[in-house]
Amino acid sequence: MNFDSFFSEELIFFINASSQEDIFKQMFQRMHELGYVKESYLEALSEREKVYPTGIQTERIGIAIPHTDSVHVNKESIGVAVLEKPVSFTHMGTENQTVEASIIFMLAIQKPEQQLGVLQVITGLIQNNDLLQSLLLANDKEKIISIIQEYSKKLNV
Amino acid sequence: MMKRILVACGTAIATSTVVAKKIEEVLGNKGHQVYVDQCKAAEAPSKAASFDLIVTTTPVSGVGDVPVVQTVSFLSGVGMDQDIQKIMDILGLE
Repeated sequence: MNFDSFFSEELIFFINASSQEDIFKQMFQRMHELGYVKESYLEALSEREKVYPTGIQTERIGIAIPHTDSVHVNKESIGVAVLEKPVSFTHMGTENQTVEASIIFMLAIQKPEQQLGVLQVITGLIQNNDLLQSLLLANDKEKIISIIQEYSKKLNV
Repeated sequence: MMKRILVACGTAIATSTVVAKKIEEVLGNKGHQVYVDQCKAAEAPSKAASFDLIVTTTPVSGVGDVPVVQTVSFLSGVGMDQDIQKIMDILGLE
């Protein structure tokens, strides 16, 4: 996996938000300004989240992996947001079970069949409580990038 | 004959890709070669008939008699071993 083509400091967010909508808007604004996603991405993302929610309760920490159809993506990337306080997401595979999410991985993916590497890095992170904890405790963008980069090297995908 | 597993998720963008790979890997490590294909949940009814099992992250309907395991354990890591056992039991693998 070409790490730099997916992750960059400009796509790391520290967000103080009270709702899912607010998180989506803040992340979308920057990703759109920087040309990663199209204007239509935000609405498509929100709509898909209603039908196919992406909240996931891991061992201890709640996370979410919002994503939508590739037609709304210009340039593949992953937005990573660490929330100041958890925000409720509906749990994947359910209609009304909620999970308090603290970390958001916003996936802007174009060719899923070719992106197994980056998806494996993300699921690997999700399944590792210590790594999620270290992302939550990181206080600058550089640190977040270095945690993900180090893990990605170790995984070697 | 090689067992066939269909992996479904909402839009077949992210989750089914990882789940399919994970299942192939874990069962492979246990010495079981399986054929895994992936699709959107909405496509499951039309594809189901030629599969022995459907593993999905989101509810699917209209898949007839094909057994369904709905789980997010292959993403969250929580409860994955039990789900693998369940899959092996359904497929009659040891």
